[in-house]
Amino acid sequence: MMKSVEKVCFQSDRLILLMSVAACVFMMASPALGQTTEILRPREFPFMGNRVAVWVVAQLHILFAAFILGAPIFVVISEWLGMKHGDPRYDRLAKEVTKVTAILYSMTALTGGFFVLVLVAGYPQLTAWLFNHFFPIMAIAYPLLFIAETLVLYLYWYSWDALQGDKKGRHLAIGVLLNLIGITTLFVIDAPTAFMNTPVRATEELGMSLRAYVETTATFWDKVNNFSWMPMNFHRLVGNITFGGFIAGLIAAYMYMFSKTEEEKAYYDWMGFVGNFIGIGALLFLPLMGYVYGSEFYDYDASIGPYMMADQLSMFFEMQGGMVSLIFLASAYYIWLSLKRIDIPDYSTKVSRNIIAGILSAFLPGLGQFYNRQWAAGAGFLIGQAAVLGSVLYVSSLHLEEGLGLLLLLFLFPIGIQIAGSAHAVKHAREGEPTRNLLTLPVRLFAQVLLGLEGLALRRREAVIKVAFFILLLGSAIWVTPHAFVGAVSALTDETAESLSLPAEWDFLALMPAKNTAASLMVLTILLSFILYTRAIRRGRIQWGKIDFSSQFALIFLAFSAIWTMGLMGVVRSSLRKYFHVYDLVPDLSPNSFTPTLADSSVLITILTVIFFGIVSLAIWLALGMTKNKVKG
Amino acid sequence: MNKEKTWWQIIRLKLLVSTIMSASLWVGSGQLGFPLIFQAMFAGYVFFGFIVFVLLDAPPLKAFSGWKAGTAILGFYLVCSALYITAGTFLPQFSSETEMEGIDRKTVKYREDPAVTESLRHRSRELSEKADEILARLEQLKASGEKLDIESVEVAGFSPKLPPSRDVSGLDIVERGKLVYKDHECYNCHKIGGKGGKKRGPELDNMGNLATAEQLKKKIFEPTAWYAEGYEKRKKDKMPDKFPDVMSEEELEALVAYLMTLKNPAVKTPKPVFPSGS
Repeated sequence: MMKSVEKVCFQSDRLILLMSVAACVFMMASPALGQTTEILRPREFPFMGNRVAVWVVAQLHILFAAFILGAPIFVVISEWLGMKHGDPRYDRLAKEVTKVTAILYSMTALTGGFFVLVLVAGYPQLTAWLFNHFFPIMAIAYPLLFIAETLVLYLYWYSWDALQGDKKGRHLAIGVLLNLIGITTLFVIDAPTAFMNTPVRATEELGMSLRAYVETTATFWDKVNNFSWMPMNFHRLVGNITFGGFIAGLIAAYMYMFSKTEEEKAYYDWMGFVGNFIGIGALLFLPLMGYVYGSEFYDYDASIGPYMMADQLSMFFEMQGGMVSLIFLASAYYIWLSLKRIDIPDYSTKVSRNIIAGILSAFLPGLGQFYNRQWAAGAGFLIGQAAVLGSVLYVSSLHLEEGLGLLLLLFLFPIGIQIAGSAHAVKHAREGEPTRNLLTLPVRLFAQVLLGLEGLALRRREAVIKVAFFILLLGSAIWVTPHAFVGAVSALTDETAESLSLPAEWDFLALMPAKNTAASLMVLTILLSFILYTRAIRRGRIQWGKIDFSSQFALIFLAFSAIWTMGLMGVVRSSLRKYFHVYDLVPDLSPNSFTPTLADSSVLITILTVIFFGIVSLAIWLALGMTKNKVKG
Repeated sequence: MNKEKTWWQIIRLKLLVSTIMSASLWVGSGQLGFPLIFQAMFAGYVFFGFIVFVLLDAPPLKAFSGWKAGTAILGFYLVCSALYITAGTFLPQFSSETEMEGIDRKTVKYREDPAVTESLRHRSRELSEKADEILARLEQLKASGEKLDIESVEVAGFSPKLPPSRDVSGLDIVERGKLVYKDHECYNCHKIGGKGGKKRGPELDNMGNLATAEQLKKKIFEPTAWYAEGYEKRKKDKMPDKFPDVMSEEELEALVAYLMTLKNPAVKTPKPVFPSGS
């Protein structure tokens, strides 16, 4: 059965590739034939309109494409770990994810072909324009890379059993090659996508208009190497790895829930752990990647920044902040449930280098005060910090978990408060007022006392994780606090401004330093929780298969939420072009050129995510569910 | 860990702490001048935190499989979907109708400027060739005496029937300038009458007293021509140089006419600084 499923999948791959190549050849050939004056006119898609039609197929294509690019990275890492540690579970994991990937590979090709056809039918001029400017990519490099990737995927899959033992290295090499081609494909097709957001402009010296420069002077490479191309590449690459990890977690959750033997449960519990580990591990880099990506937009055109973060798309980012917070919390919840089933026999009383480093780094915020020339505040902070530390060290028996708890309490939280306070000080300094941190001083003092007491009370690792949750919740709260509860700044009136906006002296909560602080806090908290988790696993005995059943819903939630967020950010990226197909260059003169509201976007993103999950669930059932009983660990 | 605890035992202390925290935040933030919606938001955070901490101490979920698991998964997706749709709908929305009006005004340039339209339409060499072919065919048909419905003829596949643009011809030029200021989102970086962006660009309330109309036109279409005092060395908040691409001459005239009416010396609008030699 499995073989026939694979065969069907690969055959449909061939078919769609053949169709795509034929379509490309036809499109390239038609001007050359030059025998007809028939011109493709824009056609209106019934019920949904052209824009939603393109949105639906493009979003589905990107979701499948993200998986088939992210999963092989995950798979090869897993295979390599299996070879390195001699643990057959990794090899099984890699093989099972590849089985699902094979089916979804077909869906990527099918939706990709569908996407091209919808684009040609709905927006023929734009498609022609893009083909003219990116002909080497769209008609040559991209299809060829797709074919090459397909062939290498066949090779990778069908050589799996043959290249075992001493030949495993060769199989890994094929996997690496598959990933290299996949990453190149991603980078290549990102070029026109990024160009649509940030078309290359002439230098100041040339003094040419955007239109004149793109049409007459810019080289093909200039168009490819546009402002947002490389940041988009890395953002998508890391996003795809996250995606692969979470889908592996989803596969594990499904299979765990339907497992009938303890052995199977233990394996899929372990697989969920690995999927979540890689998913969240990659996710930690995403805020930074997103920041760099957004920063490039800002550098390209300073008006994009406020439009994105403070004006029309601000509520989309409000939603994004909420989603990312939920993802971090769900991941921490999974760690929490995982820790509950680890049996740690005894605590070490040895003071590790990590703890010393953590304690020393706890003093860094005080140095920050000196940097700001706030001598008294800096000295006060250091003395207070030393007092709190002294008390905690005296009472505490310095268990590993408590040491990490100290890191969380005495390093992360105060540094967050300090950065938030600095943002406030910077704001006041800009307005010509003396630089003072008075406003946040009571908060900082309160935090010190509270955290000191919490530190004293730390006797169990559970308490440490709860502190991590507290910090995550605090970071989330800062992240999602908006400047004003309004759809677009231009909609604020004299009557509504006061009742919907933050008070002037508190608006630093909505500024980027505060948001960056919140994101950094959350990332570092998750990172330290993972360190604690992995150390606990090494020191204790993990009872695979005994995890709380609700953890499987946490894995499903992580996958669903991550993919929903991906859809949301896709809307944001497209909406940044405003009423242009290609920003500032090719206007969208159709009645659909307005920005979809967050409400409409949420409905469509949800529908698409559900469709995607329906297909992925079917693929998992076909690839693994139907053959589950035959698989041996 | 909490196997013996009942739900009430798990909830009661957290409920007490959450209630006290919510009330404190509500009253405290109200005293600090936060609007009602932010007070509610803070209380909402605490309530969310309460749910999270209850979840942490909740008793283990009993395992199930088969159709129960399938139903649970479907139900879970339904809950997640409802949650995200509700959140997306609950958050404030902008008006697409208002945006569309602005787009209609801004795209007049593309709809009515034949030079721009032509340049857009004849981007590709292949399509230009096709247009020539059509014209040649038209000539042939004309010579053959056949009656032509010229409205149905499309050049190179582009529909000549673009949606009509909003009529702004009846507006006073200053009112029109105000619309241009809004349409091109100048408010995101500049302030007028205390309203607008967070100091990315200078306040404009007294600009009419400090620069001539020609200097303003020059600045908008060529941002490096001169700088407002104190903004010379800014690298991050540079004024975009895109306006020649996206703003029509008519819009520029109207915008400058509006800016020239801004003559409030009470506001510290920075003086123009011209590069030496200019």
